[in-house]
Amino acid sequence: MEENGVMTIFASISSTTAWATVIGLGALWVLLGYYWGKKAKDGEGFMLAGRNVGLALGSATAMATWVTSNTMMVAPVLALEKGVWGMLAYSSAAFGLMLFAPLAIRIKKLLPEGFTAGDFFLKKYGRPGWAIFMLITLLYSITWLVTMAIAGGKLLEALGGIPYMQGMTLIMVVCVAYTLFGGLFAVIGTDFIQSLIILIGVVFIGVMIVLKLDFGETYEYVSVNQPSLVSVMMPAALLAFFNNMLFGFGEVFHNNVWWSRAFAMRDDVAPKAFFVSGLLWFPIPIAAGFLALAAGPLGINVTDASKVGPMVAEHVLNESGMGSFASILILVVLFCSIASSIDSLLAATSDLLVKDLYLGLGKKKLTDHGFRKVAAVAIIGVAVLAWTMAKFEWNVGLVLYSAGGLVAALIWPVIAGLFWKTYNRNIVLAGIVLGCITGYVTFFKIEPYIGALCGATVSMVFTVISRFVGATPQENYTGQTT
Amino acid sequence: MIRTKSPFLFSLFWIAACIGSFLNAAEESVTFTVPPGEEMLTSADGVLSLSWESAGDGVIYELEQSVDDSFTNPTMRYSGPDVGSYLTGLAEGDYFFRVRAKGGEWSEPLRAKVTFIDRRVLWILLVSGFVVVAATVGTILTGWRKTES
Repeated sequence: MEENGVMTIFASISSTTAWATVIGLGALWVLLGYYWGKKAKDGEGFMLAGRNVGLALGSATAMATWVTSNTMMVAPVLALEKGVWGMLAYSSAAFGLMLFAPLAIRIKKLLPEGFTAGDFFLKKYGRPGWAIFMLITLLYSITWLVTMAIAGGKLLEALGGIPYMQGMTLIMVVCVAYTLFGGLFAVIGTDFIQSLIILIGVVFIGVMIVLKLDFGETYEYVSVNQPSLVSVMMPAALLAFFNNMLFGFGEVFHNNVWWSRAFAMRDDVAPKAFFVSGLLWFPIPIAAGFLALAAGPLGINVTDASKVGPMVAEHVLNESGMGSFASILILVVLFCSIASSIDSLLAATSDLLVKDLYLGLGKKKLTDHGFRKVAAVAIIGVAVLAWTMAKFEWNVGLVLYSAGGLVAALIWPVIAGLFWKTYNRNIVLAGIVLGCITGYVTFFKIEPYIGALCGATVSMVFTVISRFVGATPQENYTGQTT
Repeated sequence: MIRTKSPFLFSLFWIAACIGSFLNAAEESVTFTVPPGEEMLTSADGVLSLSWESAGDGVIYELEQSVDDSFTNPTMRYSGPDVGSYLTGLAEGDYFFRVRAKGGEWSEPLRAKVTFIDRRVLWILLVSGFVVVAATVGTILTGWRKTES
């Protein structure tokens, strides 16, 4: 449909094709999960894939986990609203993965037998620090999981006409099934294949767009009609750059998704894998974001910003004569990006529940067989909770994005705990709490794109002060002063 | 329910009714939908989400933008069947928008104002951001080098 060069499109494939695509991919993941799951001989194998993950699998799983539905759907929104700085802002989250490389070396040394990020907070900040961490990370992880379940349901509804509840349930069932069968072995194995599909898909769509667009005309159109998108001094975009980078640091540094991968990788592999995954991930939001900048020049009217990425991709591929194959390709790439994050979150969050709450707080002992049973209950429990919240389509997106201050407030406590010999625990914990409060207040009361920045700033100031006021020697995991 | 003996006559009635409804829709003025109590839209980041009331199926709408309310030098921002448009990348300043069903009357102008964050606050936040990021990266790399050595 085109009128005066401005059009609206969002064609879709038949629901039968969408069902067949998702069920086909889902069956493949479940079979692979079952196959790889046989390697998990005990609880440690199930949780940490035998602590023997190599470079290729390690890099791929970190990259695929970081390519979430948000990368494919929200990065274009950031570019659409904040322009070139917006694209770079989203990509700056890659630095979180790269900086986790030196942290991973230290984590492996301090906690050679560690299982979760909770182990670190318990040893370094005691029960109060552990409790604050658990509260923040469970809130964040569950909402992150719910946003992806919702994104999956909406994606299948938009592209394939599958009713929201059916699509969302289908994606959750598939991810739960292969995570149950194989634990982290299955998650990492499927992540490897999913990361290849994502990379190939993004490169293919990117090349098609480059072939389709005249960059000179695109720049001219944007400069005239959307001048702030190419302005070096766009205030909101500049703030978003620092805010997103710190949001990314906070997400990666604290979340058990990344700690469990650090524990799972071989000592010499972990730092390289995180650095390589950051490098591989960096261009993906730029490619996804460029889709949004191309919307205006291609004459696409955006009515719902959240759909701009798939909308432009589908338009370009359709224009290139790819017909319904275009929709299938987008569906496959987005399904892989969603599944690769849902499975990781299911595994890492259930690890926290089993290891930190059931075994740690509950002081329970488990055999390997018993461990698998409890882990399975935890995975299903987390999935059912996420499914229930996704069912009502609660506005968890707002909760997730407003949590920037929460996760950013954990950046400096993690750094201090890993590298500093002396600090005052109470001042660090006060900094986390005040950083969280500042993050929320600034997000809701001033501007949404400064929550993480303000939360990190307050926490950093307190953590630095803790090194000089009432600082005491801290003990590492093995009981030695670091 | 209209009953005729001839399907041909029924089709004629139906086509005439469709054309009539389309022409009526085109003559009516389309109005913007704005939040209650707000006569002017505001934005702190150059993003405006405009929407207008539907005038029926198949109607083509035209949306114009101008920097003055008399629309002396308007820019066509959209022409098509959607009942809204998400505009981004606007520079600071006042804008006026009007919409119509193609061939119909223009709506009353809708005023929008784009004002970015106060520059002093911006610089304080940017400097804070730079300091926190630089300190974070520096502390990690320093800590790593020290612990490795």
